[in-house]
Amino acid sequence: MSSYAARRTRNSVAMLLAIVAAVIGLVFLFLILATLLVKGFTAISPQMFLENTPPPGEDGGLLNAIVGSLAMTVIAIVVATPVGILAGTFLSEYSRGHWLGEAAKFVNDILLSAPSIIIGLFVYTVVVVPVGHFSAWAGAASLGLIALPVINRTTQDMLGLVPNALREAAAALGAPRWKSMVSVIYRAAMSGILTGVLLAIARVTGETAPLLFTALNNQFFSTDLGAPMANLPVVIFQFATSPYDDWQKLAWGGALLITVAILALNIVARWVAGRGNQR
Amino acid sequence: MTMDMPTIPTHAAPVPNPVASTFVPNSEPHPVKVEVKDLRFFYANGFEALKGINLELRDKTVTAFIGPSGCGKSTLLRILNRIYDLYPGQKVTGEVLLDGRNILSRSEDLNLLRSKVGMVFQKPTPFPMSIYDNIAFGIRLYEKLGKSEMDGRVEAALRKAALWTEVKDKLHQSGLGLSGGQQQRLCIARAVAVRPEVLLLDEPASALDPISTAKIEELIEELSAEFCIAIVTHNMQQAARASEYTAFMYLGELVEFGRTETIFTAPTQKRTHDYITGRFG
Amino acid sequence: MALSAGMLDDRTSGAARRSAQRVVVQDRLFYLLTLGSAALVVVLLLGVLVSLLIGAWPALSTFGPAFVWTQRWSPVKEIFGALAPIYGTLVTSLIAMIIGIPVSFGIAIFLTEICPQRLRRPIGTAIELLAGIPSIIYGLWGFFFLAPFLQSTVQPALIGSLGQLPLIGVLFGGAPYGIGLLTAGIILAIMVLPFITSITRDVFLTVPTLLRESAYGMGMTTWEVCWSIIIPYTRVGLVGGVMLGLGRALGETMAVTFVIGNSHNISPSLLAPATTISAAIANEFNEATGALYTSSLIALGLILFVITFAVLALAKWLLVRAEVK
Repeated sequence: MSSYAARRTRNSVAMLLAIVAAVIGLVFLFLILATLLVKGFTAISPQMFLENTPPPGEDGGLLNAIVGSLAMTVIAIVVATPVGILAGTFLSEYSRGHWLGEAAKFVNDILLSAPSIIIGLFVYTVVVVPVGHFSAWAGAASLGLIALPVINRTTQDMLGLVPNALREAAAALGAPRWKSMVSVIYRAAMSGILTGVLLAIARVTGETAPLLFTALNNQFFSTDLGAPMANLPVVIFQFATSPYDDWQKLAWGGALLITVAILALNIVARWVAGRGNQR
Repeated sequence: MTMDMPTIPTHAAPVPNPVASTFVPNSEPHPVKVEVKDLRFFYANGFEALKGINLELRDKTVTAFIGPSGCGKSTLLRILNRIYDLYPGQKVTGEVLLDGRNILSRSEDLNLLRSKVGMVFQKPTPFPMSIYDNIAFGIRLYEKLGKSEMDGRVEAALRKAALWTEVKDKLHQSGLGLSGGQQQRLCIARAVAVRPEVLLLDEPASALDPISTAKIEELIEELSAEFCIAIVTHNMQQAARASEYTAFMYLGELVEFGRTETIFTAPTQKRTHDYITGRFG
Repeated sequence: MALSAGMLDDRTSGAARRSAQRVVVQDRLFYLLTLGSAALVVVLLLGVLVSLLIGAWPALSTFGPAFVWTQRWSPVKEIFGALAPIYGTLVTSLIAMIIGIPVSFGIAIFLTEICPQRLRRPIGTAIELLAGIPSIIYGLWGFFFLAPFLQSTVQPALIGSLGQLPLIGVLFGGAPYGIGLLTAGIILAIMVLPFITSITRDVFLTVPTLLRESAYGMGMTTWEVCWSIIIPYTRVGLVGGVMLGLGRALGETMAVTFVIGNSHNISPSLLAPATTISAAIANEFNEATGALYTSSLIALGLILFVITFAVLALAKWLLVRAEVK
């Protein structure tokens, strides 16, 4: 019986430790969010959305950075989505026994979790160096490279969930394979693929490292994709590490903006995925 | 016509009351539509799933395939429209003649073949689109029709599948919103809309409730006026009620093939007799 | 409703044959399009590798293999060695794992075994959402709150207590800077926490209910079920998940760059400023003057790529093995 008492004690201690771990972890994560909310909300004002990044000591906003981030994200996603979906289609539908299939699946998983700063270095050497200067195109390229494996992977997974019966049914009507893919199978996997695209946008929105030496930054409002372009993450980084209070405040405002956008994208993605599952 | 109907001695009738069948055999057999000659099928792992099958499917006639699961009846069906071709590594030898032409030849265009040999699967497979588009999908593949013409074709197909009155007010709602039985009839309508010559039904009612099953059976009988129909089932009452010919398969072999009333009342093979009397399977 | 014979013949006519041929071409095109996209993914990874190799070549050929174990980093004299950033990368990730793994496992056990059923989903979802928060937010918080807090409270205490002990004392010696290896490690730990927790929880949930129930049915305590049934059963998957987290910590840039201090000196103390590969690149790349400086930073990137590639490949192999089982 004493051994049973010992077992119970050990169990209590272990469970207590697990609860303590959970509390510590959740408290820290909560602390970060709370700080972000408090610091960010005091920084957010209409001005933030209406004015460009200021020189030190002056008032200003984040308009140019917000527009820059949106522009580069849109370009990145517009290019990465079709390529990612097509690549995912090959890997899920056509690659059975094809050597390229196995290789590309493995490579995609590596790209999926490769350090994003490496992607930045890559784009720097193949785009920025030959062109001779930083540009929004280069920034968009590096974001696209980060979005591509996310979309590719979710497309593979989601196509894998479409029952074979549907492919057979389309084929049994005499539908050629591409027609069956485009009209039936993509539709069946639509909500899942859309989820993947949303998650890719969320992922890309917060990326900082690959933009540091591709899009760089721009103090002014610019729509020239061939020139450096302001973007939220790099502005946050530069302003936060600056000694100016105004800049630091704007950095917190930008950080809150990004976080809210990403959380919203994640929640919408879950909602879309959930709706797809219900049907 | 009814004189052909054999009186089935009750002691030899293992199936409850097959006489109740509403099916009336034709006095004159229809011409042969599909001829299967020495058909062998090998899975990718080399397993021989069909071991030299020979039989004929007649036009405007229902032929039922029965046998314990794994006997190869579904495999046989999946060769007739070469749907097995979707999966590489499987091998077929022998001949399947559709109107005298071998559809197993390499040069056969599979999409055209499948538009002539329609198929309905075990579970309903509505496409994720509206009821209307589910039907129109197959038609659009091979015909360019105007709106009113297409509307007519969709209605005709749905009527033929006895679904029209149930769905005519919600044609543009998703086909996924229908009940299981309605979904299956939608799939039959979709297959029929393409105007195939042969219709393959792979246990079309096995996932349905008894009322839906009865509707499907009724439907099959009506469709048999137009199409050459092959149906796989492991419900023997269904085979007895709905078909004119029955093939009993066992372990990849065709054990017995003949008119349904003969198979069910006076089988020549002991294995057939054992199976239909429920001794195994 | 009868079929017209003419209609049926249509499909064997010449027109149908031609359209069938068109379909073959379309099918082929679509296939090639998907194949090309998949090939592009492979080409991109090879491109990353080749471009890093070419970019790193001047540095690697100048310094030879000694680049990896040289500590000196002098932009003025154009002498570069990667030892300090490599050391920093490995040590911060190690600290992150030492803190992050037990806490993640604790949360996962809490979520799968202890937590009231009603709270499991909300807490689990919240943690998954936190995994999506960009690393720059963690860096920002570390820079403005964790570092000052550690500097004023925790680090003096550490120096006063552990710092006075023999042997391990050197790890906690020196002045309380606030920024440095320990701070970066803690930030990394917090950052990988939601990530490892989500994977761990998913892996724990793969244990068949029957197995779990029969273990409880023998009279095992919750801890014994976790320790003797769940963890051994999910061992391979757990290691895979941890490796994925490690891969993230090794390659992480923004969470670290804010709080590492950017010093190319290797100090025995965990409280001293240091640098990591990614932080060195992020901090210095744009200011790098001279081809050799830039090349040395790209060489650092190459080393990081090789390290993370090895870790990720191992993680993937383990996770695939876990799925097979």
